[in-house]
Amino acid sequence: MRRLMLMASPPAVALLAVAIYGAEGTGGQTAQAATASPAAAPHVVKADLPGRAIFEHNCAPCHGAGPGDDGTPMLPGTMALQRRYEGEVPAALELRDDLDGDTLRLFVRNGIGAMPMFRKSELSDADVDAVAAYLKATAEASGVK
Amino acid sequence: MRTPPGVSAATFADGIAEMKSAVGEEWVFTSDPDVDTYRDFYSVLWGEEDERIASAAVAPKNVEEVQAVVRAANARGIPLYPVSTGRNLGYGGSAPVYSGSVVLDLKRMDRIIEVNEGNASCLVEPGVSYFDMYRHLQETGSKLWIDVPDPGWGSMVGNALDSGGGYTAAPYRGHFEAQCGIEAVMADGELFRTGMGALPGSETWQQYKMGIGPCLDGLFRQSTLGVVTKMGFWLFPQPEAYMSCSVELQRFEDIEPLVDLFNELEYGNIFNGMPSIGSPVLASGNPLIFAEIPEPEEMNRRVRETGLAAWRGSMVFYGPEKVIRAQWDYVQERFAHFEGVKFKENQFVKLPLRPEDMEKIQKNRFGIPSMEIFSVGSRGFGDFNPSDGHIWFSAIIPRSGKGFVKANRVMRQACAEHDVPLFMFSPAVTCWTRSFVLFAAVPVYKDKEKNRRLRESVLKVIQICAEHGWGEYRCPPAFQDAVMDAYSFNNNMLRRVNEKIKDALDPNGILSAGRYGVWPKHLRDGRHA
Repeated sequence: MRRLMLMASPPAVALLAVAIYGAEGTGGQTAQAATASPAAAPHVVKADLPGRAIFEHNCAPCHGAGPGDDGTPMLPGTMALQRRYEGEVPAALELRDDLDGDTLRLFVRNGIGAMPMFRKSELSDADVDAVAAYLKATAEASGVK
Repeated sequence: MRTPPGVSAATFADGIAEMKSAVGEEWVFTSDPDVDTYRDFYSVLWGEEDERIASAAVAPKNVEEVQAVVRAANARGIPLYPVSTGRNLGYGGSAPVYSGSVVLDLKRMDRIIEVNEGNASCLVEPGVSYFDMYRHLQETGSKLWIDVPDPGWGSMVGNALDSGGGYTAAPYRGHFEAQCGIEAVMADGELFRTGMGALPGSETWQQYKMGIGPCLDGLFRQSTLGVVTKMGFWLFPQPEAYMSCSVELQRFEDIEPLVDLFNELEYGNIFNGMPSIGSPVLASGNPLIFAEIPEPEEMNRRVRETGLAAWRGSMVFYGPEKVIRAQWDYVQERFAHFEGVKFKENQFVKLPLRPEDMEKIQKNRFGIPSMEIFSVGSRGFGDFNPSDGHIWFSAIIPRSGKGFVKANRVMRQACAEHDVPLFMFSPAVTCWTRSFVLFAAVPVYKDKEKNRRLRESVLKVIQICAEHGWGEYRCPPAFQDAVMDAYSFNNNMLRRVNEKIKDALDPNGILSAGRYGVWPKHLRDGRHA
């Protein structure tokens, strides 16, 4: 049986804080320039389910499958999962077929690493279930075995 | 069910029942698992007896429900702690400052009431995030930009109320300064509007801030005096082009004229984007941690040996291409007399953005919200180990070369002496046009002993900064009393006046008790001994 993988969060910085580092603000070396070369974004076939919009609004800014902003290899939540599991499971949540509603809820309601909890005023239990259904359907549509 | 201190279980239960009848049972949270989602995940008091935790939470959908909740609390002396989206992590998150408060969670109030293209303004509720507004502007084909802070999931209203800032042009970067018009529910449940909002039939609420008489918007900044339910903002009409440029200078001694000239150019509207004063030679190691500025001879020696510039002044221009190119030409003329000066045009972007631009740009410079900032730690700069979050130390320092050098040295030495771990230490930056801020990001852990040491250290750094006249503009709840204490002119008159206003407007002391060091009368006895 496939064991469940914990979602990790990056050692994140700056919430509702002001800007610090512009592209020119760190002595010429941008954060982007200091990273590894970008990896190709995985191919994701998005399922047409209600959970898609919920995922895209609430989760995808960190856990989306595409490259990160400014050409970074991955979005921060995806990058953190890649670093933690080193490819043992897909880093992009949309390619995970092993995250049911209860599993997602465990992390959504309790937080982990630097990812804080999400409250019911932000994401209802039904929303979390809808996201789980969307992730599973999307993983299957994308060819995850 | 947890109970606020000083409130009987029966009274609290009665108040909760009234709140349930106002907002609906499903939007009042009293179970431990639900209430725990309001903990400050980055708290430096995590798991300790003094951790600031809520007794319950209530999430109204509209102004009338907010009024009903506030009235229910005021009648019973139940402390309330309003949050907008609750994402002020690093500065307290969604947890109350005063343990036992009921969190008034405004996330469900997420209406974008108006976007006025002609006036370049908007009116929003506190649950509207930067992502929400950006999506709305995109979907409606608006030509307006918002100014965004680093993470895009925060509330426009909440960020402004806590004095957050962003990256675009000067009039928009200071988010409280860019507000125009506030509606707030006061502690007695009455509805209040600032500026032209006080004049029935006015069409200028988002055009003229002041109205008549004393300007009262500031009552709600970092305050304990009301629940803000609407806020207007001025938005940035999309410019024709963006250009970022920099000037590199080669000697330690150039820092003072560099800052002075930058000030003249920015205050004279020659450039309108966010400036930054960095140092290539000092940032050649970990680019996220600005090193301590050495003595002139040492710095000049490093410049000679490495070929890296001593200073880099960076600026951004927004406007028509021919205008901003002329402005950049003028900047180069003004710096031409510096020995060894180098000029760089770092990026020029015609607007609107094309899809292929998106992977090249720094999104927040274009008013595009993201969560990019969360990537920084996971890129593994230096020896940084993943933490459980972070807090910010954010001191306002003088906007001068001399002031920057001194603050850098004192703060770096204080952090080293008191063993404050850093994973970011900023160059001289500013969201506001007339000062610099030095930011230090400090990792926090779910480890009581580490956090105890961290608290002690940060308190010492606050004190050291205060001795030099540098105060924090914003801080986590655990340090708010200490920071307010540092603003001590005339026997802490600032705090004492705030307390008088507090007593007048919120005599039962129910709103945001303790926020930024202002406590209601019944909780402050002995606190400032």
